[in-house]
Amino acid sequence: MKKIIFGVVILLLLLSLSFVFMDKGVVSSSLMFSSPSLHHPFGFDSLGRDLLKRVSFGTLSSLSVGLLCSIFTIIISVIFSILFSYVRGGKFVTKAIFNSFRSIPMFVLSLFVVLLFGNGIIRVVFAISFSSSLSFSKLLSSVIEKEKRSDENTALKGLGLKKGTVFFKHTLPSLFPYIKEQFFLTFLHSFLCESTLSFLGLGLKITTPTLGGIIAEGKDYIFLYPHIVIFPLLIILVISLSLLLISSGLRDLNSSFKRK
Amino acid sequence: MQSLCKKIAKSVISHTITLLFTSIFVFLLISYSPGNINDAIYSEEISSTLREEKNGILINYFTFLKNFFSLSWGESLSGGSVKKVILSSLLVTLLLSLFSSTVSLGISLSLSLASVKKRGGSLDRTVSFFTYIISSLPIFLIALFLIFVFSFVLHLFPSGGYTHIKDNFFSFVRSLVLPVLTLSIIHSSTFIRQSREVLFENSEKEFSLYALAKGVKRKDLPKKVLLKPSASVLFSLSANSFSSLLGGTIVVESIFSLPGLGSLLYQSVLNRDIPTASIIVMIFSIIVSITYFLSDVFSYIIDPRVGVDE
Repeated sequence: MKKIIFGVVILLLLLSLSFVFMDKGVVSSSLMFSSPSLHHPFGFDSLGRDLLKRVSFGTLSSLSVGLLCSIFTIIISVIFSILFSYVRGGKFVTKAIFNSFRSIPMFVLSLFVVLLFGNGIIRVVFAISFSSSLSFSKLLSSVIEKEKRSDENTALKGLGLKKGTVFFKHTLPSLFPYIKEQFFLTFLHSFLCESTLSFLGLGLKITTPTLGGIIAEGKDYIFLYPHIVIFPLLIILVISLSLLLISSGLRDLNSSFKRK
Repeated sequence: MQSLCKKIAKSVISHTITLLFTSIFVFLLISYSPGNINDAIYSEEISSTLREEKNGILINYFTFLKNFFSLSWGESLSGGSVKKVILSSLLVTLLLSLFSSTVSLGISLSLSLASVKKRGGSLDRTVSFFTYIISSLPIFLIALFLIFVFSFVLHLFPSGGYTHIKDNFFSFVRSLVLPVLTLSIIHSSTFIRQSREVLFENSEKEFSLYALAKGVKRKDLPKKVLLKPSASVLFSLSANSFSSLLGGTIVVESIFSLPGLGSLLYQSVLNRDIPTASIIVMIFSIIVSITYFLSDVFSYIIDPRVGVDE
């Protein structure tokens, strides 16, 4: 529980700070590459924009992409898993489709989708959530299979409950702990995936600052002006560690709940 | 022996089906995506006539398959034969991924075996702490950090570039050290966590209690008792992480400017070169399927119980 609270507090702190400072920044040639100072704690980037403002904007945009991705991933994978475990003949098709997706590395798949559909926030969200929902829907469908075969389920059916009621009142709620745990893990993975895509220049539009994009811009000057890269890297580190803390705290909660 | 052959045949069939599904998926994505290359290159008239010339979807699919397997991959948008470029860069990626997977498997197996010896001990805690942090980092962060330390501060290895193995063996090795290190750090951080969990799970089972009661020392337990029953799971886990390692080669190759498949895919995505990219995706999926198949075969040989009930 401590872990979850700690992670949530850090995330909220970061979010509120970045709301305060959020701005795209103004280009000014006289301030190019200025080092951090008291008034501008992160310094200026290669075009003379205040890095603090840009990093805050980037934090917000990267976090929102991660959040959207994880929501979509959960929705897509719940729908997939239900389709696969309740549609007749779905099992064979599921297995083949899952295996074929498993055989394409996730990052390759999202690059390919970005290639075919172009970049921009909706397409990137689609690419990431599409490629990350596959492994999760596999997990969910195996949970559903287990639930279908459980004694509780047969007993409920024996009592004369309809299939639909059993599904909505018993099978679906049993998925929630997995979803809760996976939500933050997907959040973390899609956050990392988005920043890697933006680092390669294939993420959001180049006019929207993201953490990966700022790092990519500062990468060429890493040896001369390391502050351009270091601050966004630190922010990425803090965000991913707090997400990891939350997800592991949730997992601990789940496992202690199961043991009882 | 006969059952082993039967299992292998089954696995071959299932992986072929998998590859067929992948090819259908790639084909559908290419032919129904909004970004048709003909629209980008030609004028509207020509591209619309080209669209009308299309045969039925099945015939198109079979020509796609036939072209893929007969290695007639055509010319890329930037000119030059796709086959030549892809085959030469395939070698680089294969070398890179094989080196880094062997390095990381070695590191992670030895570390997880050592940390299983004493659960909650100092080694176990440091290992789990570092793997925890590293696995939550994006791969480019580690690459930039390694470049900063090893090529900017220490001047030990080049920060990029690739020398062919025939030209100069020593600089070939030097150019691969940092990419291999980056990939194996990321790869081993996830693999250690998974394999540690598997080994711990087995160490709590009855057979290890029995082995302890029969007089196996606790520090010999991981190597003597736990390794063999966990092997089949470890094989499939390593095949799984090999696929994510291949995904990581894209970033690593483009940061260290190695002429591999990953950076070729990246370039073709930047140039919107769909034919090349689709062939690269197919090749990636073939490589991954082969590793899954090999891991299946190894786990069948080591553990005869695997794959029986299906």
